[in-house]
Amino acid sequence: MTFRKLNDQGLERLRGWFDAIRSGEQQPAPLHLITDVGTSTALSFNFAPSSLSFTNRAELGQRLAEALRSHRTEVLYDEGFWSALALVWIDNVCPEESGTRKPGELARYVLDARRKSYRHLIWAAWWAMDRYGDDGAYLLLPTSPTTGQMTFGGGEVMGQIAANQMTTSAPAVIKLGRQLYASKSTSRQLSGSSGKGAASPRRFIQVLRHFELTYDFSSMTADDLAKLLPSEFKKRLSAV
Amino acid sequence: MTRRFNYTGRQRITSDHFEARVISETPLIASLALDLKDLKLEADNTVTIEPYVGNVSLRLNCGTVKALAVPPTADLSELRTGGGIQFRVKITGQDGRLRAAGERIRLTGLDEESGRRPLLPVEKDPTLGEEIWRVRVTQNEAPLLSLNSRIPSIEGLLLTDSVFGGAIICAAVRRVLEVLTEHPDDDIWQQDWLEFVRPWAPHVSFDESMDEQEVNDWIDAVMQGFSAEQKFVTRALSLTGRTDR
Repeated sequence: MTFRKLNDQGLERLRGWFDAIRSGEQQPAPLHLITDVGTSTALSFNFAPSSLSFTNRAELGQRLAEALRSHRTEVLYDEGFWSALALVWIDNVCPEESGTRKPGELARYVLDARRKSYRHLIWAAWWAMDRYGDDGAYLLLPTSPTTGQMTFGGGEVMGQIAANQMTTSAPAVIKLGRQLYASKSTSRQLSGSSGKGAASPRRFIQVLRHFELTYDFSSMTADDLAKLLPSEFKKRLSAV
Repeated sequence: MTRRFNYTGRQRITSDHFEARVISETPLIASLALDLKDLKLEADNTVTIEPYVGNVSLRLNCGTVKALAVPPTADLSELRTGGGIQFRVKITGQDGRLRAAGERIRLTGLDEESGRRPLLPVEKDPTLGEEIWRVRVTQNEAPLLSLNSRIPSIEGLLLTDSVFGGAIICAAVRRVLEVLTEHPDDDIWQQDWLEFVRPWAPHVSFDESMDEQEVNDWIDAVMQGFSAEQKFVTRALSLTGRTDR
């Protein structure tokens, strides 16, 4: 059966469901929204999310990148499509704990394409792997290999590095972020990849903001960029 | 406050130099025009145009200053989000340094006059719950006024109901000014706003020594001047048939 995406009515109902469970009401996930003709629309291409297997967001992103390769433009910022996928995988991205779900920010499940797309747990997984390949995996993988594999939003690394055009338009910045904040062997974020102190992701972005006045990051390599960083970052670059 | 310095003498590219105009909505095609005549550049400087929205951008290599090869049109379908598409233009030297750059140049719509750029665009937002409005602005994101789409004709109310509109616009502008004063040297949206408010605070320039009280005084001065020009209270009184005593 062709997968169906949510229409405006479906999106409104899904937002309402999140509001309800956030206020403490116990309601089953409204999976019917993606089958009812009044709340959903058939995709124009074949796509079967149930056929995808994954254990973390990087794997999910890779599977989606492969499955959607010919349909990037159609799905890129389709709020109904990505929100429907979050609903399909609701037990992964917003699991029940002791019989209740505790949703985070709405943008993690219902795509806010104009402002917070990088927070969406499904869209951002696809975007990071589709756009940057293996260099994007660290944005999605928590330090621990055992917990929160599908609910980890990327932490401070994602919040800083994926949240603005200066960085996302330059693959060299994403790659350098990997060198600074990810394990070479596992691509998982290194512990201590948060905070506001020296060599933190926040400092990384602050420093780049100064250099962007002088350099075109899009035409540079990660190694070129690394040479510009002040000494506080050298320890991280040599440690990983 | 953060200060940023332009040590390299990088020149500024504005909508006077570059225009992108929609010529087809479906597919989304824009015409592109770039004129670098009044800039001091080297012949071998490379020219790049980057349309972008949200986290996604395209990169159009447009040759060099001497052999400019700006495509007459560009297919922007991939960037269609409902959000505003903007453009960066970069002129880069052979050493990789920027010689001139422009950010946040808007895509001009089919029926728009060129060069017009709203300082506070308005959108209807279905995700605001019981909030009537919210202003969205950060150091990196230009101000945007979101109105709750559940209220019928709310955009019209903003313009026609002076009490409703004045209350929202004053609070929204004040919030933008608060963020502006945190990063007044940035050139993403900040310079346009500084130019906008200059008539009401002509003698004040920012520097790191300004304390919180001085910043608040500056914001109050701007708000007074802005409100006086807009005559929010006078217009509200006229709606009720009353005047100032």
